[in-house]
Amino acid sequence: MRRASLTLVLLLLTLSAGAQTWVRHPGMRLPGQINRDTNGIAHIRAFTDYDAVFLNGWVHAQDRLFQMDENRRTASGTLAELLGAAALPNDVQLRTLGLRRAASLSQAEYPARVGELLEAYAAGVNAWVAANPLPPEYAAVEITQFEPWTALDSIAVAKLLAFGLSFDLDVENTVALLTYRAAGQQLGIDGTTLFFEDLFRSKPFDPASTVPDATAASKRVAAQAGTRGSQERWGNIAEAAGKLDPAAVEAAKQYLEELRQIPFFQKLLDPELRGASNEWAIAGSLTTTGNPMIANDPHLALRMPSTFYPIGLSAARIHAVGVGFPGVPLVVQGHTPRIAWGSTVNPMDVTDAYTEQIVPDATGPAGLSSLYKGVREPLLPITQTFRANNPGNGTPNDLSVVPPVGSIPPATLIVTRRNAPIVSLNLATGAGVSVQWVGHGPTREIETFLIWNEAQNLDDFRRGLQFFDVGSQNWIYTDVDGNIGYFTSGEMPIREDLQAGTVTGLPPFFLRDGAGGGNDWIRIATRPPGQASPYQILSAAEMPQVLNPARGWIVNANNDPAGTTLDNNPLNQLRAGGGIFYLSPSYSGFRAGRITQLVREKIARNEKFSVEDMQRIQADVVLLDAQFFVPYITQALENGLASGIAPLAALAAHPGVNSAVARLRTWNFSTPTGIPEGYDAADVNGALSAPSSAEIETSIAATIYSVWRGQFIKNTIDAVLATGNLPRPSSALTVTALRNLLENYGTRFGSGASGVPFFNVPPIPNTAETAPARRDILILKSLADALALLASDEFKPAFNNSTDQNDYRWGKLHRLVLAHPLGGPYNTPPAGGAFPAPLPGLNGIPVDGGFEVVDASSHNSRAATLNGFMFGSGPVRRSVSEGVRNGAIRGFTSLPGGPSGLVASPMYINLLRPWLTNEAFQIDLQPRVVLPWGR
Amino acid sequence: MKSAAIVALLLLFAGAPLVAQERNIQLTVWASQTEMQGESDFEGGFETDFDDGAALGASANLFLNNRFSVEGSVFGLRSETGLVLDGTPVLDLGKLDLTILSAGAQFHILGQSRFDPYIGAGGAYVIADGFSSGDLQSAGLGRIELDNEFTYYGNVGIGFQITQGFGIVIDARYIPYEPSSRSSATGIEQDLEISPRILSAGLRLQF
Repeated sequence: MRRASLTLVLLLLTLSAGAQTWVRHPGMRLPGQINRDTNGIAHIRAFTDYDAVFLNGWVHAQDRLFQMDENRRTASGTLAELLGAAALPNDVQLRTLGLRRAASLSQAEYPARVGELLEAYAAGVNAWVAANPLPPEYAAVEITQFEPWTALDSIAVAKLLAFGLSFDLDVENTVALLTYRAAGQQLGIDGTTLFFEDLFRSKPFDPASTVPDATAASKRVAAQAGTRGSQERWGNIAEAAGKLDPAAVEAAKQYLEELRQIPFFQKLLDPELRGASNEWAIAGSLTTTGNPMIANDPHLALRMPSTFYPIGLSAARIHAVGVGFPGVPLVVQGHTPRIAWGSTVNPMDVTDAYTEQIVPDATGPAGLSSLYKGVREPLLPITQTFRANNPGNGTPNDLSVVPPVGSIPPATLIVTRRNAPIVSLNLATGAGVSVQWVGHGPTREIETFLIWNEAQNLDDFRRGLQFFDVGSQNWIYTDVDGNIGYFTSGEMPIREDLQAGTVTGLPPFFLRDGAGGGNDWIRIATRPPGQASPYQILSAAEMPQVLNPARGWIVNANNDPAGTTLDNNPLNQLRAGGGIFYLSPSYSGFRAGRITQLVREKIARNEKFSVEDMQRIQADVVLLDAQFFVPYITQALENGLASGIAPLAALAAHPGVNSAVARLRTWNFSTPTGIPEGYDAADVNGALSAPSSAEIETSIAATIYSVWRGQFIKNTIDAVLATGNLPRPSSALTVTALRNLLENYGTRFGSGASGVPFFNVPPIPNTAETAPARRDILILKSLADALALLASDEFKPAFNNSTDQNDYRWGKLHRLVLAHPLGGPYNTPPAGGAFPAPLPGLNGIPVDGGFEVVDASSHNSRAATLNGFMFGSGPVRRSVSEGVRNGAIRGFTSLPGGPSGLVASPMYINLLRPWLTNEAFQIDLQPRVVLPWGR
Repeated sequence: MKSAAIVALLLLFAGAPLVAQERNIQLTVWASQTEMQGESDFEGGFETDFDDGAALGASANLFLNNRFSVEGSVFGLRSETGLVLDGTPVLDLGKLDLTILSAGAQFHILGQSRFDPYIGAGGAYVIADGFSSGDLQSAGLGRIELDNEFTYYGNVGIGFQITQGFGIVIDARYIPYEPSSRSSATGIEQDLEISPRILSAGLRLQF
């Protein structure tokens, strides 16, 4: 009888929004609450952790079911069963890479409690689906049935997220290196040095590193050991590159081209769209309240619905609020009453691509073997069956099996030695490419979050850290005990050649030799407790970390955590016990440089940090590269005005150039929109205001500079590369390369270390005497070209062919569309009509920001088109957390969208406008409900 | 302890006719409705919720004179019990079984007569079985043990002798019972207030 009275009908759960009602679904063990705050964010309270996670699944399904389904199907390689045959290439590649296979391995390794909570989550999702109609996105694809959610689905989604944060394909680098080397041989230049020293530099744009003294000891060891010089090093690499099997390289190129056609992989392969983030910590000694603070803003795809889902969980042991991923239970970034954490991506190199030699072998199950040191090792085949939905024909749930012909393989082939799938294979030549990724093993990231969702102190945090095996992150930490800390996580495999103190063949950020041996990860007989990989890994003590640094602050923004690349050589540090200490070939240097600059300036003024100060830094839209390049522009004009060299003098006399330089001379390097329709940090709480005259002036300078940047690259580096049809370095690498060329201009006169001249102004000869003029001509010519471009038809929808620089408002170019997988009305704008496009004739929302600013909103540095300055990646959660001493964590957050994924819901975009103007709201953790007799 | 109380009660009934040769004795069997008066001092807004339960009991009165008797009684109570939070039942605690042994004095206002209004008071010993339920297991609390406790009671009633040897009685009694309780899983103690009120109708034999 009592049980019956406690078991309230399902409907109550739906109606419980804000009602503080205790309800119990038959699938729950005890009652729970779903309380929606004024922002629509679900705060779950339950007596048991099981029930809290059940309701976690319930609200995820209620708000984000289609997104969850999309996530699990992407991970599992069954997306075509939802979206149709267009998604088959995605399915083929992801089945080959085997994230779901890897998830199965993880599932077997998770402890019982994690398994039970994953089951609770699945039960919550399925309970909601059983009681409610599917959301409207399903009607759009003519699907009426939902395949029940499973614990394995959640693990697969977690794998997908880890994959997105850690997968790197070394093929592009290899192809570029080989091309440079070949071109060098043809043109008589040092192509290898051109690659490493001039254009694909490891040294970042700004030297800010998180733990500056982390490798001081190992550097000394390296020096004593007589580390080879760069010329010898590059020479060896060039020689190794020359030995690569051309057929294997061709197979790798084909694989790369296939991936480039798939939206999911485009995001992974395009540095502008890859995950990034900012974080910093300030000790209590430097804050206005005396409490330590951390700030964090991960940068992922700005999409609809939002990447993150905000949620609060209060139960028996779980007690955390923050954000999670739809499809995975628990809070992944947030705070408990006593600790707070955030993270940025740490681009640790945990993926290696290998060239393979495949031979027929009738004795093997696949009829094929790989050769390893001349010995045949049978490939393991995994049979695949692909299905595709056929939306648009009016028949619901019309799935058909796709026959294995053409690009649809009948089976995935695995190199068992490395548990590495063959991703590309030419049976005629026997050349193949395999990919080995730490995440293919039984990793346990979800366990990390469970421990942290219950954490009371630093020890708990460190205990959880050991299970975050792949998708390496830089974690920023604070607590109510006054600590600030920085830790890196992830299992970094030890390569056998590096451990022997050398590089055999190509380094790990290029294609490696899978057949000859010497490049393998060192296997161990027994995995230590808590370790996922069956390989030797860097120990926790070797990972960059710092706790309560004496200087009182920590900054990380995907920059070099330990300074291992600051000498442009990521391979000349040694491990304490011997072997090369290697983390990653390169890092971002822009945002960390700017944040470090802001923190240092404030400390130099003897000012203390408040929560608002932390938020102001998050909203910073100053272009760090402009601080470096603009003085060259202004100096070029001054030089030109005094020059007797005709082309330079003519450019200096150009009225538009003069006017533009005058604007740049007084520019503060900030990037407001300069239009009333634009969303700027200066606006308040999502409400627009007319720009001030100063904002307008700044906005115009931002436009001119940003277009100049692309033209300067075009007239220097790209002009040279075009002549040899050489691959171009990425957007950020190119700007870094330009800085290096200008910094060494006085000694190299515009040429790189390779001797290749990049500042060419025919017919002026490339001599030391002409070097200053050539530089200034190209700088001013790029400015003139930029002005011509802005007045051209390309930019007519924004500027109507105007030559009046006052019309060049940055907001007309720097725009944002938050895209939905189904597009159209689901995108924002228009968000089903709730957020119409603010600018007639121009797509997107005008927003402040720009190339590699702290308030991430970057575009390609080469941008030269109307929509080239738009951005699609940025802060998917801004947060500031304060560890109130002898109190509780205070958390403030800002999210680019609402909790709901339903376009008709008022909670679809309710948080977007405040996010656009950098407002944050306090997000409180509801008190835990402690039962009588309970702890 | 509970079985010992039942044995004692049976002996009491068996021995009554013998004692009655010397004294006036009444034996009564009771059917009762119970109501718990729990206002336990829980944190977080929790309250106990007891369903109206049923009880069976028996008592014996030995008259010392025309107006005073001593009473011995035993009652067995059962009530469905739960926890309520913010007005909503949230946790099933299971059945609460109490056995109450008491001994006390009664004052018969009109003396021994056909109509017999009386009041009484005395000492009681409450034996509790504790709480056990699936919800408690789910909540990780295991079984909730309750301390047995000496307490007192008060009662009022009225009897009506239908014949010389047979009558009917109604009785209301109150037993304050505020035991300590503890979880077998967490070991955490919690003071409870249960304090049953027992409203009974009885059949009386007089010897």
